[in-house]
Amino acid sequence: MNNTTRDPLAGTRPAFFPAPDDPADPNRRERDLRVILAEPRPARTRRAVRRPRLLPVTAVAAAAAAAIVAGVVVVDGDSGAPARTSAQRVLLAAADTVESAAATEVGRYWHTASRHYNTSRQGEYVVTLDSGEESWYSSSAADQTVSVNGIDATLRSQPPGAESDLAGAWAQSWDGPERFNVAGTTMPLDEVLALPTEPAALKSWLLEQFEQNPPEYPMELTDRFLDAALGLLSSVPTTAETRAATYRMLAELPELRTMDASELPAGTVGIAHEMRYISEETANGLVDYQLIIDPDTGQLVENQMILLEPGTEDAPLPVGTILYHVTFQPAGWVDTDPVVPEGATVETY
Amino acid sequence: MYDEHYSRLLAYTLGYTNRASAEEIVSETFLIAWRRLDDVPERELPWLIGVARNVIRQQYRADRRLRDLCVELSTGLLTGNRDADDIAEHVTERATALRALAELGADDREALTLIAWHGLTNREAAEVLGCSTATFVVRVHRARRRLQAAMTVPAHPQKLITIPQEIS
Repeated sequence: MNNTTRDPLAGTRPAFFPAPDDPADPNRRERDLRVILAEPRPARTRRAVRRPRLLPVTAVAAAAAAAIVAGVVVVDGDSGAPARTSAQRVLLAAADTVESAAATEVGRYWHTASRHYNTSRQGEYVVTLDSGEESWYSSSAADQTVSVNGIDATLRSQPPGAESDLAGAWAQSWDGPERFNVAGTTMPLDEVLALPTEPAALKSWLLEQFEQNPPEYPMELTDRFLDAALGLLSSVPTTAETRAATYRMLAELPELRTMDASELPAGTVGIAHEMRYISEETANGLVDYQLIIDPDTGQLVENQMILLEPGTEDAPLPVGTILYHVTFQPAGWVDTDPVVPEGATVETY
Repeated sequence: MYDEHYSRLLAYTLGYTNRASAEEIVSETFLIAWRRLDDVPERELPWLIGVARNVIRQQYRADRRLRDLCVELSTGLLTGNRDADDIAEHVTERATALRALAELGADDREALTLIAWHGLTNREAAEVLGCSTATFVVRVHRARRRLQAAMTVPAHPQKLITIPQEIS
């Protein structure tokens, strides 16, 4: 609330409202949970990578997005062979590299690991949460999916003083075979493995998914492709051919920028795109959305978002803040058992 | 999810209906969440409140109830239904604020109570209402100004007389 004047509504919350941490009436709880759990359990799919959603903004953006969708032109790079931009060169090289990797056999688990850094403002502090996530997505009914969150989590603050103790890692598990979410559509592994391997076909397929799964807020089409590509390249067990097609499809998007070496970790390449981002921290300002690639393997290694221009002058975070940053370890098929850190709580669904 | 959010959801629905109905709405909200588990975002509470809000709007003349509740609470404060250690001046202030809240438009009342009564941040409240945080911030800023204005206008005595409704 407003810090400078007394809130006139302070103390008006009705006394008969339960306090936020009051427990539910045990009888009521038992009855509710009985009814709920009597329903068939829905397929539980997790976005393998948790990240802030891309929610670009406003009715103006809605109109713009509609105009873009209406005017979509699938540009085939081979018509007249236009000069390639440097972003295209980066992406096409990554496509060639990732495609040349040896095919891998499906194993017991699709294994992913990543670290996430999220920055936000809490009162007078800018706090950064750094935590790891590691998941084993089961390929069959014989194994359970296991997902571990909160690994080696730390909370730092600037200025120092708002650090707090964080609960240790926790794990969740549920029955396999895992289903995967691609562009808002949930599908079994065999459908993921059968995703298009040609950029034009992949683009058409994604456009169909976008139509079936409208975003909660208007999003520019380019931003939706980038969002879908992030999943295809980082967390879902796509084939090398589908990953290559993803890079080639991105290469056809307009407006992508090649990142300068000075912005990048040594030995990596990257592409970036400016977009509106809905959040309190940016006051719905403009951010730079970046995908960073290891050119030796063609793997996506990092994804980050940097505040370029706050929506209002009094945005909670300064220009240049890294709003979030994710580093991905190479994902792949493994036959070994999941490893849950000692002391982690395990919830089974 | 149930244990973590039950009481805050119940508090939210109690703003719009009586206890028995509120409990039913909360049940239904969790049932919907179970069916749509894939849709539940990481920040669960605003999503759950948004679902409860839809259920309420489909089934109840919700805003009328919230307005009447504000009037009732205001009247209750002025007629002695309050804690013994309350300072009279504060009681009058709160009663005035509640009466002013009752006089605002439904959208203003909703925006202000999401924050003051349900403890949501601007971003969370925006998620409940399905608008951008910026839109919500502007909306709540204007609502606060109107609340201040309504608090400075002398009350019409008849506005404090209302048909008592069951609160719980």
